[in-house]
Amino acid sequence: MSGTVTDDATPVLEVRGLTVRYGGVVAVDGVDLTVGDGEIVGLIGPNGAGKTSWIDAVTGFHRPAGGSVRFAGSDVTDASPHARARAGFVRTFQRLDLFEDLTVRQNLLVGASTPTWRDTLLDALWPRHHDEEGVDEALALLGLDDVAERNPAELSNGQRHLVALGRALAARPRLVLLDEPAAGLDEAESAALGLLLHDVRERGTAILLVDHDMALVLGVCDRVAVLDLGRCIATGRPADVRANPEVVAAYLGTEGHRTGETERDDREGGA
Amino acid sequence: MLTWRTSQVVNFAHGAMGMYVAFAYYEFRDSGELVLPILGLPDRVALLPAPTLATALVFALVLAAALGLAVYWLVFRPLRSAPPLARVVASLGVYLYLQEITRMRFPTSGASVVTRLPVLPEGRVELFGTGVSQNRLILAGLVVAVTVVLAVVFQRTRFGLATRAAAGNDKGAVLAGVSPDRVAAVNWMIASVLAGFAVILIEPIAGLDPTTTSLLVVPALAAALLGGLNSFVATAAAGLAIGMVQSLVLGYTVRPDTTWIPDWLPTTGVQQAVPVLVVLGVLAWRGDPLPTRATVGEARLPASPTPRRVGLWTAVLAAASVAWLFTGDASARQALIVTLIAVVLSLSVVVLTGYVGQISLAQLAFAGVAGFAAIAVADRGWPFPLAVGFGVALATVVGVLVGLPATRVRGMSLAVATMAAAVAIEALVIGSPSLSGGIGGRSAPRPYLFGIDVGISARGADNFRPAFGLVALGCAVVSGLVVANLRRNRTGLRWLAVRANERAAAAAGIDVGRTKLGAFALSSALAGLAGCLTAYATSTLSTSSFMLIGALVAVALTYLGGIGGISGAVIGGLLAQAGVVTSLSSGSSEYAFVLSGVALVVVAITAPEGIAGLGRARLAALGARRTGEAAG
Repeated sequence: MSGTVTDDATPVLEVRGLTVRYGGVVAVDGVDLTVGDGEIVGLIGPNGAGKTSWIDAVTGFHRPAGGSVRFAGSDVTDASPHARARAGFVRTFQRLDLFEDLTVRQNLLVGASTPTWRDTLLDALWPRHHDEEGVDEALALLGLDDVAERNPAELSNGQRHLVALGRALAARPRLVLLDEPAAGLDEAESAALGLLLHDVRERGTAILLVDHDMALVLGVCDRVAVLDLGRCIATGRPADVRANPEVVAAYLGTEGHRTGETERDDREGGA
Repeated sequence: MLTWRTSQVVNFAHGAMGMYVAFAYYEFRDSGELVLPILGLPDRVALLPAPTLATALVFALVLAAALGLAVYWLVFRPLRSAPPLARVVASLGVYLYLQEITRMRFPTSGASVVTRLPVLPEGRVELFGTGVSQNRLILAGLVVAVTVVLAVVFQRTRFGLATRAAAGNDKGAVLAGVSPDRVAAVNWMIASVLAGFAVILIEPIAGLDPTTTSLLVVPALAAALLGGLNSFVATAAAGLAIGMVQSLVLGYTVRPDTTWIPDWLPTTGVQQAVPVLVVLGVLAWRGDPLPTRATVGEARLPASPTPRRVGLWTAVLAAASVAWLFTGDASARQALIVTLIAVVLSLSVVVLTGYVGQISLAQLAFAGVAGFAAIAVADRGWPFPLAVGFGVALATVVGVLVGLPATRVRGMSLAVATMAAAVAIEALVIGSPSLSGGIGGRSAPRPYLFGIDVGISARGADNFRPAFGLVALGCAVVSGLVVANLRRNRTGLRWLAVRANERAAAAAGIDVGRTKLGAFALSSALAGLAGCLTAYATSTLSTSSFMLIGALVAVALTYLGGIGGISGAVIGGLLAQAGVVTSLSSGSSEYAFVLSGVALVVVAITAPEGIAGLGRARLAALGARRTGEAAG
């Protein structure tokens, strides 16, 4: 669990030259990133930097215009999102996107296993109870045992974030990509989340963390990559990145002055 | 050959609206009477003794505008923020209502064609060396003119800007000082007027009939989808192209020297299949396997609770059915058999639409395919269970094929695609005389199960034999249990996950496309089973048993009963025409379609979870026994 990528081991995730275009606009321009086994890597950048586009391309929700994505040694650039998830590369969503009709436990069960045709046929003939260790483990880890039979709508915002995280962890993935898991959390909740992420890593799941919460990202991650205007402008240990003048200029120094956030949210939520 | 379309709302009742206006126009032109499309009011109001062409046209214009306004105000305005399913159901309600009320109010329809004076001149002119009727040329010219006017109006005027703004973003439009309500109302009136005039103008070419004219909406929607739902010019071009291809196909197929088309393909069927292929092709080409970020719906869907006390309910309902079969008279037995078959059909709708959120209007077409297929192999000596199995298997295959577009499109577009597919199946397969026996229909041989006669018919009071009732009951019980078991298991979770949020489902490792196709397979198998039972339950099976209207009614009744659960399917089955409830209330069945249209709209607006949902709500409120179900 060293803080740097070792060259001799195959990285869990290896992204090379990823490029995303929307029409004529280049949202992501040739960005590289690797995540090693058991590593926690952060991806930060001001709004409009291309983080969400990058995530969608890496997880198969948007076809990249160029570049390659390798997961656990095999090329998954053209694989569908569900194929990546089944291979052990799971993501969460900024807007959580919980299944509101299902209970918390059911939310986790959905992702926990993939029934075969034979399972489905047997299920049709006789109702059986399925125990999924991954689900119980995730519920216990996240402290959701007490609310497992409730619906997500009845939970607090913090708990809903945990359900989204739990759904990603239920299948015991090798890598989980967290899209702004601390958005809307208060400082205490965010700090608790940081501790949780260390527990998750200890259980053998590498984490790619994309967030605005600087305290969380710089505090938890082994390595941080900084994205600006679709390019990766710096990578390294949190302390080095914090001191990088280019990063300071692009992101840290101007934090609070950028107003892109509201515009972007409108675009995503509306229409 | 002419259809075009304006509004951004996909309205299945559009053809029906135009159809009613056209009927009213011709009636007014003939007799000067206004025919009201409202139950409970006098049929006709005499307005003018002898209207001229001009006054009649003005009358039609006002009437069409009023109809458009009424439909928007009463039906679609309350549903503005409702999920697509509710809007589809409501527009199906309007469709049913208008079609049936027209049938009732204009009993002579079809016979009085001779007396209708065409609006356009009928002479022929020479064009590029071939004779072309004047009216067709004028029509084509009118289409171009209307298209240009619409395009200009919507591009250049403040009103057009407001419309586009409201279509893009309701809230933003409100903030900018545009009333989306007023804009929508005006657009509905324009659309209604266009539909009315289109139908009036094409009457000399295409004829006028409550059913076929209402179905004009299929090629119209095909054109609109081709045009991307926002370009008038593209839509008009697409509409003209579809019309021309249809005419070409017709020209080919009626030529005696055409041999490459198999004889069993009905020519009109080929003609009707063209828009279908267009729709499916475009949808598949343009669709995305997963919705984009912005389009993930937040609209609330009818709740789908986990089935509880399945064993108890099965036992109670099955026991009641058996008691009914052995104590009731022939008509009571008939009603129960009809209900049991309807329950199976409703289950197919519950699985596909209630659980997985995929709107299919082709369920009855699957049933028809299965029914005729079962008869075909039974005639070749296949025993009863094998014939039914074959029918069900074939329906499953067809269902999966029709479901293929569902892997790339969703919501309203899928409803259009399946409706188109239903029309195509109806026209191509079921409408083919060599398969379906033409108007006379076909009869299934007497069924035997393990050597026991389970046929339905017998002489006199013994008709509708309990033996067949037991077979139908067995099918319904097994279907219900299979659905309940799947719903309670991981498969059910995955269904609901796909229904709730396809992106999140994919992120959780669910193959969204395969999940949908699996649901299509199960659903069409159930529909096929219902179709096979129908084949053996009726003395002669004719194509009219499987018309699109029946599929609309099936969806409607299931929605009424409560589309989110098996109880809804049971209630839907009880409500089915000639089923238990209608036979008990012994009301005249001629109002059945009209009333189910009205009920559909009302339920879509006020109680999206149907009667079963109302029952559950009452149950929760009182903490008492289930008493609300009897309300139907």
